[in-house]
Amino acid sequence: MRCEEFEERLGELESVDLPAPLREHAAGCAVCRGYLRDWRVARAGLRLLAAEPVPEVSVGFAARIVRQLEETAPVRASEEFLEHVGRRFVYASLALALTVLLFLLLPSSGPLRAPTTADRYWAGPETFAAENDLVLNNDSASNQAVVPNAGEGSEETSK
Amino acid sequence: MLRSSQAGDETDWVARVQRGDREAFTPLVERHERRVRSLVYHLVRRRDEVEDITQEIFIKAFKNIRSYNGESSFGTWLGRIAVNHCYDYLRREQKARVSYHWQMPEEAGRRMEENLEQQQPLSVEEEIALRDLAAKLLERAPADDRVILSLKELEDRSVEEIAELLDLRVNTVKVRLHRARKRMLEDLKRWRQGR
Repeated sequence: MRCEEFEERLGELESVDLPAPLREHAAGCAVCRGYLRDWRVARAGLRLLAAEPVPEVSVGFAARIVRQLEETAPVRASEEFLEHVGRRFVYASLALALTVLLFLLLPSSGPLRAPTTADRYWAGPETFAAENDLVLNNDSASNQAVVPNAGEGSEETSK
Repeated sequence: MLRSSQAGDETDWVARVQRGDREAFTPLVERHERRVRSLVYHLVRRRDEVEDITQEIFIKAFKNIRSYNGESSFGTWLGRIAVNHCYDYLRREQKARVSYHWQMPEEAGRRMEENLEQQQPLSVEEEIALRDLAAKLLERAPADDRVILSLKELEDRSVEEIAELLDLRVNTVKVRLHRARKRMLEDLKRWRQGR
């Protein structure tokens, strides 16, 4: 018998008498003997708790409840339905608003992003200086491919 | 279990309350008050709060009585409301968890364990100490474990009844019970090691 099975079967026991297979396993397994000892303690304590008398309610309990109900009306089924559906609608709207907000706030990212007009604008004068750089412009055609509008810049310079 | 004539009365009272007759709620309270009170006491274990919580459960049941459709018995439906209400209470209360100490010297504890093993009667002091320990183990357990253990061990409900009350499958209840017991015993073991 595995220890796990021992624990499961012990939990399902109604009486405190151990069946033979459980007794045999406990005799040969120190871990399960410890588990069995704790189980006996906890179970005995729970049995004692269960036997404790439940406190009584004070006299006139039912009448007091009914008096209190005069200020309370049962929730109508339609109200309950609307409340249920309404709550779902609010949650769905909030989730949608949050998604849109995240979409607007987070910048697009990734290695394939193409430079936009705004990027070029914010890049500042250094970029334009590079475009007009004679060394770059006089270099091979590959440089012209790397630097945007490099060809146009060189034409303007030669003019 | 209710006899058929009693069940018929109950169906009639429920229907009247659903139509707005508040007075018809009185026999329902009278019939189920003891059962609900026992459930509350075993789940919450606060003598001073039992009456208030029981009252809150009945008022909640009255407010929601139109959602009762007779699929289960009124007692089971009310039991579900009671369990959920106690569960919410326990979750709120567990923010302030108590630590426990077992007021029993090691030697006396060992003697008591031997008595338990040999099924010998316990002394009054031993019984008090054991009750105190079990109550504290339950207090320290997570709300889920506490509810399921209390229903089984204190309320003496069957696995099937627990499944109905908690709206779970019977096998799920068995697994959860096993895990809850195991966690409780691990807690007891930790306490022993720290003694």
